[in-house]
Amino acid sequence: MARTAHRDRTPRAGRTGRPAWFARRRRGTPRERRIAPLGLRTRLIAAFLLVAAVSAVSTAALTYQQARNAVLKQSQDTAVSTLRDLMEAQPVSLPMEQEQLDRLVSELAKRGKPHPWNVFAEYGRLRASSNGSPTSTVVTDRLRRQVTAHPHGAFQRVTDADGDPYLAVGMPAVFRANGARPPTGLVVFATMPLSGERTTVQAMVEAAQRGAVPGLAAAVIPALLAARSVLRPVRDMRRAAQKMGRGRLDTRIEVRGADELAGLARTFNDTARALEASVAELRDAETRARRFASDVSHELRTPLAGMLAVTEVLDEEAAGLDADTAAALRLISAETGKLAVLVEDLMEISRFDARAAELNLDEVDVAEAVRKTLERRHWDDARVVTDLPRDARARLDPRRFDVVLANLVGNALRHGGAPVRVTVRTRPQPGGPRLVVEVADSGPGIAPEVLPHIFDRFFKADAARTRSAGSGLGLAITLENVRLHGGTLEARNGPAGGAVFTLDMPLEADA
Amino acid sequence: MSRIRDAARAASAAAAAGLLLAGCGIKTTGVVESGAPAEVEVRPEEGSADSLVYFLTPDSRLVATHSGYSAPGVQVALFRLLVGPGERERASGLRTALPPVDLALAGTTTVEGPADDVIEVRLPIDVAKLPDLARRQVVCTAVANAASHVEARLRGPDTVLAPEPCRTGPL
Repeated sequence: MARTAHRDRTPRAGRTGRPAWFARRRRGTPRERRIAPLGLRTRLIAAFLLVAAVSAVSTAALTYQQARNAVLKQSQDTAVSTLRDLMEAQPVSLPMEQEQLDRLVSELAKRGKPHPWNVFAEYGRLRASSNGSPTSTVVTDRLRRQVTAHPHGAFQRVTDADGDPYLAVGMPAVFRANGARPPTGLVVFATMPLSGERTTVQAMVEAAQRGAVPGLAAAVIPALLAARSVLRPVRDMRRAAQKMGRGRLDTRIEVRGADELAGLARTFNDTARALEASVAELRDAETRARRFASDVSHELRTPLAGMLAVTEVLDEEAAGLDADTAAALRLISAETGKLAVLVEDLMEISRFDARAAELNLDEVDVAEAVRKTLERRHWDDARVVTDLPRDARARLDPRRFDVVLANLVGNALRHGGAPVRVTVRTRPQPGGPRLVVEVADSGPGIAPEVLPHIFDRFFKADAARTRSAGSGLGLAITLENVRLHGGTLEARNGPAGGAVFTLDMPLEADA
Repeated sequence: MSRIRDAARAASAAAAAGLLLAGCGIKTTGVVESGAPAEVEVRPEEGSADSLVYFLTPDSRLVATHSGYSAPGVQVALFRLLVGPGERERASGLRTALPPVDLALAGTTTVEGPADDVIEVRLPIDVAKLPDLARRQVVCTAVANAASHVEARLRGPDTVLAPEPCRTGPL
């Protein structure tokens, strides 16, 4: 379907002077200041805590182990050497008798080191002990075998029936005779509880725990600082990107330090600068192009006015000329008229582009205004059917409303087909009552692939039909006029097949 | 993914804490040898010689005792050995592996040497069938009253044994 239509190539987003392709980004509402459960901050804190925990635990564990072993070694060595020294200070006679064994035991039992101990002495089948029972429960068979078989001191850490730790020391006695050290057959065992050591060890564990918890808490502080040092530049950058998205192309980030984030900020700034430069260039080019179109149409207007005056004279003279010359004259006359319309339209659209178009609002009766428009174009016959409300008053620019309606009806008559139905309605709405004008033709409708471009400037639906009756700017001017009123204009195909243009604008337009 | 990582973190922390707790307290040990034995002063009873005689403990180890006799010398010690543990020794649980020997026969024991660091003990009893412990008792008693580095050769009416050093350790 051939239809000359157009659309504004550079729609304006409000009156801020910023192109709409920037305004589109505003939708993404920022989610600032919300702490993400697995965000950088959380992860950094977790990592710091983990490192602190691992180092605290391993340090504490190693220190504890060393300290514990040192404490135990000290006790064991003291016990073994004390027992040896005490035994060496006690002369014996062989073979030993029970009485001697008892004396020895009581002598040794007095001087236990580092803790009081129980002493058990064995000689042959004789047994003596400092606590009355003949054998100890914590001296194992292995310890007894070891010290009786090998002439060396030995000890063993064991737990008694209650699970309390004990140290058992076994010490065989030898004597010097003829350069040899034959065994006397005397073996002394000393057992002492390690409860003191256990308390010390327990205290060390508690100290480690007490130290670790504040340490972990302290680790949160550097974690927060590190997170801050990373997150602040990131937040700045996000804000800057959002600002740029809203069209503030002069946004720059303060570059701090020389790390990767600073590098990123520098790159961001460079990119913003480049973007700003190219956008400015585009705007300049656009402005130049518009000014050129405006200038050209102005310059054409004066010679065209002269030509129009001349063609009127020639038209009157044409009747007296021969047929060929008359036809040529009429053609010139008609084309000149079209050229004049085109120049007028170009100037009009230039005014819109330069935002120099103004509304001259007036209180009008809508039905009256529609009727006048149709009468003026001699469309008040059967080709146009109207459905107008009674007593509908609107505040609008009568001249522009006339242009809009004339363009829509003319378009419908030219490309669609009679009858054209014009329906005017008013509709209440929260933002204020609306004026809805529907222009429907009886033609075959608009091809789907044409529909999106119907308001484009100089858009030719049929490439073969390079010449159309209109200027090619009619619908573009119509749309600009509607927008000036704060309204919308939509094109679609009606259920019966014809094209339907729907104008929706406030009943009370704002200047 | 991150949740899994967090779980792993918690698990490792718990494991570390567990290890720490497991390492707490005082653990038991095996038997640890620690230094020399006690070297005691052994005094012979007043009026008796410091001759040493080896008897056996109830768990069959050789231990030295003083002979209790006033006369010194290796022959006296060997005589004392062949006579067997007296009342004091038996009270302490000491015994001998040597067969009982007639007192008169026991007195015929002689010792020769040392020659080439070997002393020869001439026993009035058969030596071939002596139990191991009994043989060691004789050797150790003989050596203890000579010098520590020498060896002893046993000669009985039946045969002569190879020289051997004193071994007091277990069999």
